Amino acid sequence: MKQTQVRACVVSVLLLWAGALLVYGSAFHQQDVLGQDVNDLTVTQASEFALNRAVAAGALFRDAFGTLRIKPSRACPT
Amino acid sequence: MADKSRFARFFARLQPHRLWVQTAFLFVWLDPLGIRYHAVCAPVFHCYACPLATFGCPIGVLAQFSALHLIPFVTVGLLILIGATVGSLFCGWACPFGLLQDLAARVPTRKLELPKWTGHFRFVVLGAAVLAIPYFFGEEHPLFICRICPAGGLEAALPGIAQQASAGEPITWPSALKIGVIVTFLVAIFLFRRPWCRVFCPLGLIFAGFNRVSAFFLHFNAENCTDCKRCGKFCEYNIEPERSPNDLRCIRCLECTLCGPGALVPSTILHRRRKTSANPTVPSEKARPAV
Repeated sequence: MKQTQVRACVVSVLLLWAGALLVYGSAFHQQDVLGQDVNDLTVTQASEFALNRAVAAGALFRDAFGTLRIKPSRACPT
Repeated sequence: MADKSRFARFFARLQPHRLWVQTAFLFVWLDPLGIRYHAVCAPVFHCYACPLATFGCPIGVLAQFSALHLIPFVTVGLLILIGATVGSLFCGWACPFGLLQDLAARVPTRKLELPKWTGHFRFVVLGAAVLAIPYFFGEEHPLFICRICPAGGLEAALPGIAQQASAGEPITWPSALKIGVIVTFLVAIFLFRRPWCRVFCPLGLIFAGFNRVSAFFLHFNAENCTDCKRCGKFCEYNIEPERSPNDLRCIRCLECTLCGPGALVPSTILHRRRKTSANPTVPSEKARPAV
């Protein structure tokens, strides 16, 4: 029974961590992203979900200056 | 046979149909409605470049974010949430890549056994191909996980080649390394049981790492164990369930729970267990067969 109580405590802590990460990532985590064209200075604030979509499309990259940019989607890097 | 909770009896009834449960989950992962919602990751190993992928791949997201020097909070939170609740249960019951291997294992070829130490390669894959190499060398490195992943090869590259061929476009062939990985995988799944899961899968390693602390777990009741070793025979992954019921290599297929005495039962932190003996180390008269 004590083993179950320890497990329950650990699970509770992990779920708290998971909840905190999910809430922060969903609601607060944003990144400034520019377009592919280096002359385009329009900054978009992308949520983590938008970053996930861009990453899944292989469209997110950092330029030579470390700035996040989105390019037209391409196939997975196979 | 020991008394089982309703929860354990449910899984005992469901266990023989595990393959059907895995097949049913394909209707979730293979985007039947065409929604293609890659903003969220699924807790299974399924390439998001596959034409039929509802959700994103958490390993791909981890690797890509590592290459961009970002932290995927939602993906990490999801992995912890799933791991803390059910551990590697999704590996055994929902993963489409695991289903592919399970189906191949049903082909009546001679099955070879993988040494236990091969499971350590999963740490190398997770630490190097998923995290370190993308972080230090970027996505273009040849050992970036997506460039060597057999799931990407089978589920994305091959359909892509078929699509290009049917459209009459020039074909973009995968690298020689990728082709080698695909061919090796396709041979291995007929010779070994779940070779990718047991040797290389980084997602399985993450989930299995929670097996010892997850809310859902396998409970070993020593009072009911008759030392028949049937659980070890039922386990297809070279684990001794009576010694390590929540092993790091376990995919929680729950085959071992089918042993007759019922010493291994699926349980949760919400279950209260009845004490059947004042001294838990002394097997009860009921459990031991008559001599």
